[in-house]
Amino acid sequence: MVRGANGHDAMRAPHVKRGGGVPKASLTRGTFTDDPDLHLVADGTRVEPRVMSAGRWCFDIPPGTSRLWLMSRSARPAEIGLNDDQRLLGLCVYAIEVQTPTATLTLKPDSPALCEGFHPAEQNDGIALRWTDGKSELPSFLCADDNGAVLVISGDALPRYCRLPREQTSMLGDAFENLGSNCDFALFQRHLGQSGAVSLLRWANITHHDLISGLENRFEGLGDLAETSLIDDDDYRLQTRYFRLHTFAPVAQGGERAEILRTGCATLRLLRRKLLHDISTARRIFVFRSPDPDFDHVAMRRMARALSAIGPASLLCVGLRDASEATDRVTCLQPGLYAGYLSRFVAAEGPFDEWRDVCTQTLALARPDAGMERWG
Amino acid sequence: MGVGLSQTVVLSAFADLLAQVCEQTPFDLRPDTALADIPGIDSLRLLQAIALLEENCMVEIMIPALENLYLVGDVVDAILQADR
Repeated sequence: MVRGANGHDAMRAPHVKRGGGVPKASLTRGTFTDDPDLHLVADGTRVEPRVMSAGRWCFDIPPGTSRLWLMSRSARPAEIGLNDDQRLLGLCVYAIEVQTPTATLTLKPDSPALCEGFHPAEQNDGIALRWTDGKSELPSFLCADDNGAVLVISGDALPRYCRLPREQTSMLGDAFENLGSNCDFALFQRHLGQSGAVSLLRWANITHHDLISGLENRFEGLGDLAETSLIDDDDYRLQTRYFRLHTFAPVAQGGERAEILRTGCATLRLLRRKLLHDISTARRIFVFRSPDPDFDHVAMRRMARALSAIGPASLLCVGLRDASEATDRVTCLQPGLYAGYLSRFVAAEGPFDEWRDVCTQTLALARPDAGMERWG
Repeated sequence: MGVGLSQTVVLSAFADLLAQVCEQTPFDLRPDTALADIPGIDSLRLLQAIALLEENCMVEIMIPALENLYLVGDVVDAILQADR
């Protein structure tokens, strides 16, 4: 029998990382990490663990703590290639023990006191276990001692997590980058649980005419102070020659207009360089959606031509089509150019199922293209 | 700034800019501070601080480095290794 970090049958929980996941800072570069980043948050303050041994984490609970959270990275095994489990999993917990100077209390995985942030208790080969979802509140009676206490967690980590803490990256959404014409696709990525890397046009409003123009001249002048103005609305917006963009600085907070403009322009210049780099390296498929009837196949081909002048990135253009007309949601117009269709654009409410179909079908068509094998 | 950048100078400048964009009191940052643990931080504010840091230091960081920033020290290293 294969033994895990806790001496249990290592096959009891197929997701877990054998060895228990030592919570040290990992500097390894890449999308994934084996560090669960297990820590406590005690009344809003992060508490790092003292490692006792593999599969056991020991924490000092500050005296007088009133609310205590067990935090870790988390991932959906189905999205990181482990198995078909769609749940958001943090740490596989076998026992929670609190030691005070006068007593020791042990909570088993099936304790009814474990509620928020815990999946239902499970049994695997007779071993009781319970997964957290990465953000679990511990019962208040564990932290009520004014002298402080020691908390010991026995558990196992997943073999890997997406590196960004609490920002669960969907591989599906991560294969694409939004070019506009608004934030519909960014909202779909958020729906997938992908907070997403910041990109120039992720939240911008831009017409297909202005996008093509911008791509054709590589967004020259973007971020120049002389070509950018600050508009007061409910919040400040940056007006450029290509598009208008929120600064996310509320007008009500005041602030120096010159400083907001300077910060906005510096950020635009950095994001412009990033967009051109992303296109040139073709790491993602770029997405532009528009309900405009003028955004026809001719316009799509022109946009693809402008994109390909910068780099070999693929383009997915999404328009509207009545569901009764659609046979396939996505067609390949030419190598690296895909036309997708949705029945409606409803921004914050989707239609996320249709977006998912469009992205999945696009990836299936794109896989044979150079550079997209990584998403297969 | 531009000439004679040191880790200490960049770290101090970055801490000031983060406090500014996150609307917080000045931070006491260390190279091993996780960016995700900085109060008030989000991906846009982090990018704003980096953009201003680039401007102040008169450098342009390598774009691939943007996707590998997890610690304060990663940002400092990216600035020190940037094109001038």
